Parts: sequence; structure tokens; C-alpha cells
Amino acid sequence: MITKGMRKVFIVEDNKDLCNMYERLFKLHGHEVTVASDGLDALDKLRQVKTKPAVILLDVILPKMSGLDVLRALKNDEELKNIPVVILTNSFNETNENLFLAQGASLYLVKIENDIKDVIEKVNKLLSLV
Amino acid sequence: MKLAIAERKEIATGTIEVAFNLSGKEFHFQAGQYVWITLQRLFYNDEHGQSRCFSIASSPNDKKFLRIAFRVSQSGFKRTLGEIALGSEVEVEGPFGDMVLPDDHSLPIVFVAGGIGITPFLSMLRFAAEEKIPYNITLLYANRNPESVVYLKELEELARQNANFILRNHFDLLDAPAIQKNINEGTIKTALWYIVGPPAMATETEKIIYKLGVSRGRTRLTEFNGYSAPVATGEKIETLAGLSEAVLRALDKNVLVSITDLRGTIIYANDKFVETSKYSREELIGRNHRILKSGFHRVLFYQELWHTISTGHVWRGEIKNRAKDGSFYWVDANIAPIFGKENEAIGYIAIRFLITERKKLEEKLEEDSRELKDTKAAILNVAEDLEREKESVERKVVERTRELKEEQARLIASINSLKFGFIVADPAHRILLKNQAVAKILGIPEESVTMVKISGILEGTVNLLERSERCIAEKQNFDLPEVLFGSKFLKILISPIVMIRDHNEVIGYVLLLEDITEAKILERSRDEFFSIASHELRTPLTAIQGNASMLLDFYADKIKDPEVKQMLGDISTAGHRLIKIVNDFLELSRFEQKRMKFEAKPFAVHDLADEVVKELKGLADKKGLELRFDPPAVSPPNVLADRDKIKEVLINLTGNAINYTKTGSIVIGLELVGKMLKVKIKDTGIGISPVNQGLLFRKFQQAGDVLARDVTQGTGLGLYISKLIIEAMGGVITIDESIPGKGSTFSFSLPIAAA
Repeated sequence: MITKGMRKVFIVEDNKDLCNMYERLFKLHGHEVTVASDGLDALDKLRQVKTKPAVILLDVILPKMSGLDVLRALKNDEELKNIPVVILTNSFNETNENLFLAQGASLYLVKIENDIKDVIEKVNKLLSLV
Repeated sequence: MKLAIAERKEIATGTIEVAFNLSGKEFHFQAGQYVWITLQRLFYNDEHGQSRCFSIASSPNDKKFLRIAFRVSQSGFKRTLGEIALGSEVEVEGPFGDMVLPDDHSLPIVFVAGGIGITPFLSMLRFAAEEKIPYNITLLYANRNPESVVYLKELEELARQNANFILRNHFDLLDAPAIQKNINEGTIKTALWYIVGPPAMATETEKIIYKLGVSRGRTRLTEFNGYSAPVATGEKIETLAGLSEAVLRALDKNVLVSITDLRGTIIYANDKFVETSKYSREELIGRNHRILKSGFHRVLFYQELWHTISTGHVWRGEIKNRAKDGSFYWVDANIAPIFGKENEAIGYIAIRFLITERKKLEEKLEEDSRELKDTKAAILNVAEDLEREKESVERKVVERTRELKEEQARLIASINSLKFGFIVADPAHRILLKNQAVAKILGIPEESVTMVKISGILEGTVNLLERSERCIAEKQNFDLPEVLFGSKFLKILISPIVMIRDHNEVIGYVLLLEDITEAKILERSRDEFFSIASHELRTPLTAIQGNASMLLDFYADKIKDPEVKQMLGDISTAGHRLIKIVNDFLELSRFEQKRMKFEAKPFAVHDLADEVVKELKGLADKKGLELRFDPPAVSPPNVLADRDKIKEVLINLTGNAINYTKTGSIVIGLELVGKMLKVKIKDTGIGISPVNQGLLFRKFQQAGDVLARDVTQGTGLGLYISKLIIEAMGGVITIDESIPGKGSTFSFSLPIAAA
């Protein structure tokens, strides 16, 4: 049931526990959540779905296709390129932040540095802007 | 000297005395000597003159007359001498002879005279008597016939007048008993014996007295024939001399002529001979030819000469003779035996041409030739030495070359074993030395390795030739840590070769190529590992923490049991702590692996302090503590540092202050100290004892024993990491002061950004 303020959130995360956690988090805050556990699957689902999500939460370290490549693919896709992408990662590579932001990501969040409250807050902020 | 006949008289049977006029003539002789008288145009067959020798009968003190006595004979010479008109002049040469009285008159003297042999003794006796020299002379006069005793009256008179003279007559054969009878034994042994007489008599007498014990040194013998001699051959030589005289005179200018008896005693010497030998004629006549021996020729030489002539042959050769003054002269000599009427050899004649000049030249040539030979030999020696030296040097060179080749081989082997490419090149980029690794790394054939080729290969990335030249010019190393070459990563180093001893001249460069692809991959994989490791650590942590938080935040209403709530709280806290620990570890690891990059940019600490206060206010409020930032009156300049990292440090220090303060305040302040800006964090906390203060900025140390459950979040790494960060910025982090129970002040300084 789509209520006001409810947005579609797409999460790409290969770790089951974290995936569940974020799903739960966003659902708690009234959003509709779709998940994918790898890049290829994600792109498939994103392309197929009629109503595109309002935001994509993208992990960096993913099987089959790296997060960066997924991001590139999204930004090259006519239908998907306008969806804001939030990089949600635990990897500790400084150049990555610039790299992803340069590649079109809207936000780069290091999971472990951000309390879940921070995560929801920042994503909501982004959504309100969109 | 020409002397004229003054008187003539018969003094004994067949014996005539001739007196020659001496007045006005300078003629000095000693008693006992003789003269040569020459009568010109007297020879019976031709008109040439003849010479004979006669002993002098007169005393040397008689300045008026020179008296000689001779036995008359068939000799033309003597007949003439006996017959020619008074006042006729004859040529007189002399005096000659060494039969003279000794200086020492203490020695008894025995005169043994036979026949005309008395004349020299008469001269001596007359002289001794006149001079009153006390010679003890015994005169033994031996004769067959008393009537022919010459000068008997004079002798008797002299004996009567002088006690020292003893006259003895013996008119028979003179034998040993006769002598012993006439001369006492003592005198026989101690006296000097003078014997003059015909050859047979003289020699016989000599033999006798030797037998009587007279020593050889004590005899003076003259084989004297009275009017010719002192030679043994008498008349035959007379003939000989006359025969050759004309010829000889003609040769006088250039030719040395001498005639000797069979024993080599000189009986004739021509003027040239005399002149050349530098002896006087009387010194030559009667002497043996051997006085001219120079010592130049070997004994064999003379033996051979004698053998030739004594066997009746003519000897021809060159002889080096010695003159009286010790100088030498060379003659080209012909020596031939002279044969008498009965065809037996009676003497030798030597005709010699003076060849000293030529000989000197020859000698010089010989010497020069020898010198030349010596020089040649020396040169040859030197040449040999040089040859040997050369060989030695060549051998050394070969040896050294071999050693060098070995060294070179070893060097090449070791540089070939190097993993990295090694090239030594000269300033013109000519490769002097390289190893195999170069070609291997670059993936080109060994023989194509040249600087041009290598430079071409790396063209896109770096201009190697230009770089090398700059390197040489500036005498600086050039380092390319990472060059992408195809699928490889290369590290390139160019280093100039500077000859310190040669005024820092650069003679070339060394190029090192290192394939760091693997290392890079390793690094990358380490990076990846790091990323993955940190990721793997963080993921479950995030899940733990996130879920715990969610439970507390969003499912609070579902949790009725306060204990469950508390347990969730504990999980959350522990989770936080674990996250912090993991973060610290990861950060430290990164820092230690030098992976952390700092970006130093100017920023205002003022703003940073405000931010931190805002972020940590909640924490402070929870504990009822005041947290504030006291800005200085004058706004300080910006600092040059990495803002994010400095923020971490400030949060760390402020958080610690909050954690370790139970009541009171935490105040952040700023202070300008020289070129640094000091950030101070002052708390009113529990403080740190001096002992523990020293442990503060080390790894894993936590000052304070007990970790209060709800307060402390420190891992012990925070301060250490902060220290690393501050020091990396060029600042200093310290604990300014800390008093247990009162509080602590921590501070760190940062460099001011240039305006």
C-alpha cells in the first residue's frame, strides 16, 4: 500500500544480514523496498520494473559485477540514469569516494561510520530534494 | 870524438901502447872502462872504416893522454894503428863497460888478469893509487910467458908504493891450487873477483873460483881479448862489422840495426837504434838484447823467435820494445843469422823498421774495434734484455688480460644474475656494459639492446635519452617509480657516474630497470585484501550495531522487559566499541602501511572546533558536563593540515576529556606559538599520574586502570593514531599538564598556513 511520503527504495547488497537490516529500516520508515544481491540481478530488475525507484542504495563490493560498473551501467541507461544513487559501503578506499561521486553517485556513505539513524536521515533528505 | 895519436911505444913483447891526445877534449871515463876506436878507410877490401874496442890503460886522472895497449897481430887494424903517422886522427867512442871499482872499498878485490887483460886493472890501480883510495887489491897475473907480461914494471912499482896492493904472478896454467896458493882463503870467499882475459881462461877461472866457494854475485867477468871484445867471437865479428858497415850507415836514418852474438849480447848498435832505444851506445853494447823487452809479447813469442834464428832461419815479425825511459816503440824486424867463413852461425843481425806510428794507429784501430765490439755486445745485451723485458711484459699483459677477462666474466655473471636490468652507458649513449635482464624485462632480443631502442620503446612515457643527458648535466639521479610498459610496471633509475678524483667529471650513467609489476600486483592485492578485510570485518559489525540500534530506537515499544532493553543496550555499546576498535586497527594498519594519504590544505581551526563541540555536545550533556570552545580575542590565521584527520584528532581528544571527566567542564582553546597554532583541550577530569603520563601516546596503552562501563570508549589506540596524524602534519601533540584529581590539558600544534 503506497502511502504519502512512501517512496520506492532499491537496495543492492550482497550481505544477507545487512540487506535485511536496511530493508527493515526503510520499511519501518514507510518506504517500499526492493532488493537485489548482485549487480546483474539489480540491473535486470531495475530495467524490468515499470515504476522506477526513487533511490538506489548501492554497495561497492558485489559479486559478478562491481559496484562501480553497476553505477556506470545505471548512468548510461536512459531510463535509470536520473535515479539518485547512494553508495553504501564499508570499504575503506579514499579514492573510491571521489571516483563514485565523479561517476554520478549522489551520496557516498560508509556504513560503519554512519549510525542507522544517520543513514535514514540522509536518504530522506535526498528523497525530499528529488 | 876525434883524437889524434900522440905517442906510441912497445911495453912488452909484441905489445904496443898508443897514447891519444886528450888536451882540450872533454872525455871522462872510469877506470876499467873501454873505448871503441874507428879507423876510416881501413878495411882491406874497400874503403869503409873499421871499429875495435880497447880497454883503457891510463888513469882517469890523466887528462893529457888516453892510453891503450894492444897485442900486435896480423890484423890490418892493429898494423895500421901501429904504423900510422903520429898526429893521425881516429874516431873514439865511449867510454863503455861496467867493470868499475866498487864504491865500498872495504871489500877485498881480486884481479885475475891474463895477458892484455891487465889493462883495465892497470887503470883501476893507477886511479886508486892517485886518489889514495884504500882498496885492498890482490892482483893475480896469470901468464905463460914472463916476457909478455904487460906493464910488469908499472905493476911492481904500484905494489911497492901501496901497501894495499898485492901482486902475484903465476906463470903456468891457472888452476884451483894455483889460486889457493896465491890468494889466502879468507880473501877468496869474501873478495870481489874481477876476471879479464881470453875467453877460455876467463871462463875457466870463473868455474874454478865457484868451486872454491865464491858466490856468483861476487864475480865480474869480462872475456876480454885485449884489443877486441868484450865478446867471445872476436875476429869473426870484426869481419862482420866491417862488411855491413857501409850498408848500415846508409840505413842509419830509418832503420834500426843491431848485431848480437849467439847469446843475444849486443855487439853493435847503429845510431837509429841508439836514438830509438834512448840508451847510450855503451849502455847497449855488451848488454843482452832482452833489456828491450817490453813485456808485451808472450814467452812463446820469444822462444819461437829464438828457435827460428838459432836453427839458421830468418825471423820476420813485429816487436814491441821498451826504451830506456819506459816508453814503447814498435819495429818491423828481420832477424837473420850471420854465417862466418866456415858457414857456421856466428851471430845475428836484426834490421828493424820503426813502425810505432803505424802500430799506434793499429793499436787504436784494435782498441776502437774492441770498443766497437764491446759496444755492439753491450747493445746486443741491452737488446736481449729488452727482448726479455718485452717478453716478460707481454706475459704480464697476457696474464693481466686473462685476469681482467675473468674479472669481467665474473662481473658480467653477477650482474646477469641481477633481477633488474643494468646498463652502463657513456655520455654519447653508447652501452659499455649491460646484463641480460634488460632484454628480458623489455621483451626485446638481446642484440637489439641499445639506448636508442630502449628510449624508443618507452617513448610515450618518458624521453629516456633526454632524461639521461639532463641527468649527466645536472649530476643528479632521475627516478621514475612507476612506468607503465605494456602490461608491466617498470621502475627506472638513471644515475650519473661521477669521477670524484677527476674534478667531478661525469663519464657516463647507470640505468636501472626494475620490473615491479608483481610487486605492484601484490600491493594492489594487499589493497584489495585490505579493502576486503575491512569490509568483511565491518559488515557483521554494521549488522550487529545497526540491528541493536534499530531495536532500541524503533522497536522500543515492543520490548517490555527492562532487562532485555538493557541487554540490547549492552550489545549496542559493545558493538560501538568493537566498531571503534576495528576502525582504529584498520586506520593504524593503513597508516603504518603508509597507505593513508594526507591532503594538507589551509583551513580555520576555529570552525573545526565549533563543529566538534556541536557533535560532542550531546555526549557531554548526558554526563552533565559543560563543553565549550573559547575563541581567542584575535582571530588566528589558518593552519595547513588535513582537515578531516585533524577533526578526528580533536574528536578523539575531546571525547577522551569527556570520558575521563566526572564533573566540570571541557574547554577548547587556541594559542599562537611562533609559527604554530596550538589547540588546547582542558578538562577538569580525573587527571593522569606522572607515571602514567609517559605511557600516553603509545600503542595500546590506557592511562587509568578500570574502564568504566558506560563511559569509556577509548581503545588505547586513539592517542597513538592522533600522535601519528599530528606528527605527519608537522606538529606536536602533548599533555601540557595533568594533576590527578584536578584535570588535564592536552594540546596539539599545527603549522600556520602561509598567507
